[in-house]
Amino acid sequence: MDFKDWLESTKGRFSSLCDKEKTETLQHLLELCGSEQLSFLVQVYLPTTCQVDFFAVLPNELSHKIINYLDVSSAFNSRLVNRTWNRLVTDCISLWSRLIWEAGMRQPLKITRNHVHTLAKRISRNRHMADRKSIREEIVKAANVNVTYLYLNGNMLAIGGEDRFVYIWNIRVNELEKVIAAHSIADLNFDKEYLYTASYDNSAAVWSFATESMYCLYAGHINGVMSIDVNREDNLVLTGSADYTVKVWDFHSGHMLNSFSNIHFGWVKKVKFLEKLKGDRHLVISSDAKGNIFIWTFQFEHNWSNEVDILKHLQSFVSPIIFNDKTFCVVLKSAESTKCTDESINYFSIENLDTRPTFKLLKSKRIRNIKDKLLIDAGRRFAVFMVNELDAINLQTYFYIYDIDREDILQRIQVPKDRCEGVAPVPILGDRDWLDGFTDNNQPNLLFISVERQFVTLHYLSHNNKV
Amino acid sequence: MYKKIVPQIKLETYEKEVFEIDLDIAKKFGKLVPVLQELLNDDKPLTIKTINSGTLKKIITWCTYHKDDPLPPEDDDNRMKHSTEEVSSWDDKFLQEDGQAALFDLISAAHTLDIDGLLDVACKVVATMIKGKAPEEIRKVFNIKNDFTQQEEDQVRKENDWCED
Repeated sequence: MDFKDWLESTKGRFSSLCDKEKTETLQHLLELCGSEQLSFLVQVYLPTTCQVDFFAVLPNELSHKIINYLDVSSAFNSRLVNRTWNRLVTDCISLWSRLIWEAGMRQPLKITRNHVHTLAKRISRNRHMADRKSIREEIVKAANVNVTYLYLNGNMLAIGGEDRFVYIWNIRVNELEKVIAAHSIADLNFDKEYLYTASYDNSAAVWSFATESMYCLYAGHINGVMSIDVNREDNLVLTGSADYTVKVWDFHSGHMLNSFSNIHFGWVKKVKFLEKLKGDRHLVISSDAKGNIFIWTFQFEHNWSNEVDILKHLQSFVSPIIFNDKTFCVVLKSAESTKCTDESINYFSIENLDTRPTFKLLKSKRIRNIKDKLLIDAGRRFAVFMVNELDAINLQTYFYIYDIDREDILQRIQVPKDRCEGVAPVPILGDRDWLDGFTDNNQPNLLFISVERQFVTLHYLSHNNKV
Repeated sequence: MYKKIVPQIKLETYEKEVFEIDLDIAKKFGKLVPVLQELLNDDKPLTIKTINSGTLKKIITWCTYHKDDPLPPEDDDNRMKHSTEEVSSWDDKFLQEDGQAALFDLISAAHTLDIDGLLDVACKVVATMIKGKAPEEIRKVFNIKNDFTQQEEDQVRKENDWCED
């Protein structure tokens, strides 16, 4: 009988045995083996037969089920394994859809293979954000005095100095464009024509860029003015002050038109026009240092009537953030009654503008895992908090990028320099479009602007990350 | 002594071995749910040729251990969270102790019998075997040959460009 026939008959006989007999036969055969057979068994046979290339043998549907559990870096690494793996991972739409969501990007209507590449870029940016080395600093020596206030509008950065001057820098070319001798700055903003300032000297003012001098002064508050907002269409100036009042002024003449003393019973820290309503009424939002936010309307009248219609009262500990499209968000304190220990960020839209405005809660999300935070800015998708954390010896400042929809921290960025505490104004964000959700083409460069005494530091996200 | 009679169904495996399975456990096999009543009345076992005895034993053990687990949440939001939950150490050990081939059989069988919970957790275990490894390490773990041409591999690398920083 030749070997082949013998092998076939033995195989046939063996397969008809029961499990126990098979094991026993194998054991006897193994005992007869020499070193060559054993080394074949251990080094060649066992490793290959006990390993399974799951994606090669499972139906696609099940492979995709496994792939769905991958994280972003293992998804990319899996693409490099071989052709089959690359095809399966790249084609797994539900995986990319989840990763896009986790990276905070807007969901495209249809996910194509191109998104894999875009996603890689986006994630690369996130990683770089967290990396201390990828943040490039540019220091502008703003003034010879301490900086008290920052405001960014496009490329123009307005710096309020303790010397009562306002310095307007073009940060794109790094040049000082204007210096205006103003007053001490508690709040400022500007447009092409004018600079608007609220001052600790109990006044607010408008300054003309054309003449580099004061256009109009609004005097009448009996304590520091904390906030200013201007409605150029109706030529109204709105101010909030530490004297607990909100006042309305005529833009050109500086005459006080209304003074509201019965709304706030604390320092009024922020005032803002929300919308012009029918019948010459204005919808206004204002917040005070005691955490009260009021949304109210007043009618523009000359007869000193200070009747207001308070539409909504919210308890918050930071000023509201107002968006352009009649929506705003506020951080609400945790309600004792609901036993909820987290604060929440709440988005409201304003409706029924023609009759009596109402507020619709668009979404309410918890803020978790961040302690002792200061809200710097927020968009529809992300918020940025500043947090001081004490490591072994130093007090270190971090920016937390918070993913509102996921109710979790997306990124923690170490603020490069130890900023001096207390006296410096809070940093402001550079590009803030991304707060509404990363888009494919959006590449923010200027991350944020911070201040240390007399130095304003621009923190760029370095594109050339090979540091 | 009073003995509670537990209704059972019979399954026959690839090796023609017959298993008696408690109804409570059998209810977890989605595939069997529509025919359970029939099986209870019928004394003849149901033959499932694609599943071997070892795998069925593991499935029964797993289902028994997880008998009292709460049902997975219904809404999408919670399911998303649910899907990222860690595999318990018991499951991890139980599913990996017999090697990749057994795990593969288990996934196929869980799919055939439509046991969602087991399928989910087994797939997660495979995913954790992939996670945190470089491509070459993945090939080694699963004994995979790299069939990319240099050009193709470079193309994928380019698309993944963040890996190379």
